[in-house]
Amino acid sequence: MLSILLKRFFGAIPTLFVIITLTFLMMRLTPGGPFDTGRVVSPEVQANLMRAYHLDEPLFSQYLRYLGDLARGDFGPSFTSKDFSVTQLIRQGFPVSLQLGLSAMAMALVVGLGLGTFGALHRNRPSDHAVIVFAMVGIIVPSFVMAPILTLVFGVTLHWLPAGGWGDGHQLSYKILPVVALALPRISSIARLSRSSMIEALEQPFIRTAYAKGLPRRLVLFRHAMRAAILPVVSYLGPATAGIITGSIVVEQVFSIPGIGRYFVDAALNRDYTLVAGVVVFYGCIIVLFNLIVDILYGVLDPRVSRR
Amino acid sequence: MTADSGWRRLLRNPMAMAGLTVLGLILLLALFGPFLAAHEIDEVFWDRIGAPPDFAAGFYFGTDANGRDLFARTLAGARVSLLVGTAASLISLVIGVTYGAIAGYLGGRIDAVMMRIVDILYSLPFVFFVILLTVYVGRSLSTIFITIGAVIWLDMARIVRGQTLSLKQREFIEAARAFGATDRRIILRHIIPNLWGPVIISMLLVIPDAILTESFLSFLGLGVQEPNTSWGVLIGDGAQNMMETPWMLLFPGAFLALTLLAFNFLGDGLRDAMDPKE
Amino acid sequence: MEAEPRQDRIVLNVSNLTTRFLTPRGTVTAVDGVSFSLAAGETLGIVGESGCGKSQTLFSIMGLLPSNARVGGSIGFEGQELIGLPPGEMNRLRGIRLALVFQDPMTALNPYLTVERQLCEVLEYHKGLSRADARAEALEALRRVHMPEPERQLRRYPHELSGGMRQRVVIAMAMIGKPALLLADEPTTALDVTIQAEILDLLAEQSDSGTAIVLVTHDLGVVARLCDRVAVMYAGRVVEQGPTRAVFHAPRHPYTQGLLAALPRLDDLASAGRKPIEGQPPDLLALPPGCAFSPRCPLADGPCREMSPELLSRDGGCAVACHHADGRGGVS
Repeated sequence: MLSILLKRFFGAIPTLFVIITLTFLMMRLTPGGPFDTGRVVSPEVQANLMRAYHLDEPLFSQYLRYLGDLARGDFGPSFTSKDFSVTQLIRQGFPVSLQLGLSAMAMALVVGLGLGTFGALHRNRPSDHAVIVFAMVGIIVPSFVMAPILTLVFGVTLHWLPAGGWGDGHQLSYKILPVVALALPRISSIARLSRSSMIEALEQPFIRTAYAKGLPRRLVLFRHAMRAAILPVVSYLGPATAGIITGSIVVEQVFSIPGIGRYFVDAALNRDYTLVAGVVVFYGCIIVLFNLIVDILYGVLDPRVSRR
Repeated sequence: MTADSGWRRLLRNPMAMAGLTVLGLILLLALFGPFLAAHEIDEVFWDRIGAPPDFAAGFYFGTDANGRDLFARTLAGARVSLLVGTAASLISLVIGVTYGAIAGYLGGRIDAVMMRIVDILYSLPFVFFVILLTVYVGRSLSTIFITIGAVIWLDMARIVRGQTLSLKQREFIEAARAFGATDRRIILRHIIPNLWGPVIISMLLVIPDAILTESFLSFLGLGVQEPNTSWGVLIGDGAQNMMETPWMLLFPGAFLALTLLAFNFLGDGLRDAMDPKE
Repeated sequence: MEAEPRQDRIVLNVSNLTTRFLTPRGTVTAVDGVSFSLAAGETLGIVGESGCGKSQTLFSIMGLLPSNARVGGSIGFEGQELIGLPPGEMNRLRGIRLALVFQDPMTALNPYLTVERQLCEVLEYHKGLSRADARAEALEALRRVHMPEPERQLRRYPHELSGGMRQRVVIAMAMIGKPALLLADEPTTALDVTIQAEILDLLAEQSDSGTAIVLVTHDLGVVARLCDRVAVMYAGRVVEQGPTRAVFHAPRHPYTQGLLAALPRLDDLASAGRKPIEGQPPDLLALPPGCAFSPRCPLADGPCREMSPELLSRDGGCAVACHHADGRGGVS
């Protein structure tokens, strides 16, 4: 088991390097450097700035410096926010984004698996068709359409829930709409995926063995069929993480939530190069880390993988 | 080959045909939008700021918060969305087909390394790289479809590689090689022309992806810039004004959802037609 | 009747079992009026081509049919009627009083659970044993099927075992509750020849310990080796039934004769050997009128094509369903 862990861990390192290197190259090689914002500055100031940010050094030593900084958790200064470094901004926004993202992921898993299993067990009946239609709606209505509609209906018109904001971070009512908006597309994908994998699992011969052992339906479903049906969902968790992170940008924007996504959009709009690059690298690392966890989880759930 | 029977199966699939019809209609609306709309996209009607739909005056979808005809703007958005979708998928086509054909044709270690790179890129949050690119390069329409195309060619490369691997074994490739054709010539003349079927399918899967990405960027204000418009821009405006003028959100949102639905039906139909399991 | 001396120890009494499937193309009668009874320690073989209803007979007894199946007749098991039994009560019998061994051990075991888990859950659920007690019995069950290194196998997953070991696990799983009745569906078909023999010996041991066994197979050699009695099925019906020796020695139904003639014989290697029965197994949706075997039967004549023969007792404890079985011809 340990050797597999190590193998997966080292397998993730190239991906990390690709993310960092791509980001670095884009930062340094694309036309229009960070100080090329149209403001007229004297050559001396320009040169001083270049020196201050080590932009006068050869590219490779800049790269090494960048790697060294990252290794120390230093994402550099923000170009537009004078008072905060990129690291500080990320540290401030991440707890909020993490809470939002994890809640959405948990909701997507529970509701998606529930709907998918329900559909599979009522295959081709009206309730199954309702699940299919619901899943289709979640896939064709993107989060940036769904989030405003949810606000409009439940926040503005019905006044059931706050239409925006994050409260003081402990008020559940503020979290419901953003989490639902972020989870919906993932609920749909997981429902579709688990419905078809559950249908396939229920047709496996070992399910009939389980019934032949006299086990009640509940045990056959949750001990025997679920183990097989959940595997495709587990492999989907990687893309789902990327989707939730991407979606959180929109959701944080629509609901005015002070997470990383909001800083990211503001930074992109204001062309705050270091903050944008920092967030890309940071989220890249998060995704690599999560893919690693998913890989390991898959190995635990499917003995045929882990013992190979 | 079963390609012929596959197309026939597709023509008999009502969902796929409905999707195709809807896409055709939206394409027509986009192309002939300027003739269908009663007003210009940037004409401001000061007496009708945020007005609801009014058929008599030709404001079928109402006006936006700046008093511009939403119908004309939605059709203009359709034009941009379809253009970005097609252009980005064409770019991903060029990159993906070249990359996949080379990897599949050369095989061995080179193939393994090239596909490992695709695997790595696959796990990256590509929307972030698009945003990163637009931040550095600027936000023109062409930047947007070039950057989107530059990041969504991975599926195409995988499919083309698989096809190339199997094509490589076929006799006519062997024959060409026996006659001393160069690798470059074999790839260009024999491999790529034989890849159309699967490539068209993956194009159809890439287009809605590209449309969605563009709308996403434009919604955030990172994509298409005023006075140009797109569904994402309109939805973004609509979201900001939804309390007073909900139609600004609903019409472009419905168009986007309908387009994605149509592509979904068509894509599912194509997949079933090409790979009939049941 | 001296043919059935152990009347008091009857475990299973199937009478006029009829299983129909409602399909979009019509109703298929997969099992048509099958009757037999089985005493403790006795082994019955059911043979026939694929689609003759032999496996469906087993699944009918186990109550493991899909939802479009309709079962008629009577299945008496230890004095209890199984047909119409509520699912909960059926679950209480299944896996513990009557158990099933599947054809393919590769797919019959759950690949995601350890052998221990799959063995123990039977006892945990049926007898409410703790995991530790269940584990001890699981170990014992594996020993009874001569599993090498049973402690080690408990911790393993099915894919880590060989085919023969997996079938041992399947049999151990079926026998773990010491059932009165074991149903085996082609238990050796998916296995190598050498392992087949070991698995058959294993089944014989279960029978010696008093378990009644119904063994479904298309392999007459297996029947000859293991079964006290045999029932030959064709198109959902039993066409010939009796003590294995008697039936194999002097088969009276042309179909049984054909099956036996198709066997390669050690003492007859020089001859042309196998003579497979000509023609195709019947289409259950379009059975011919009269005897279902008549289109392939060398003896078929007028009455055969008009009237289905009844299964009638003959001397030697045998029963045959054929108009030509005793030279009396058509009417019975």
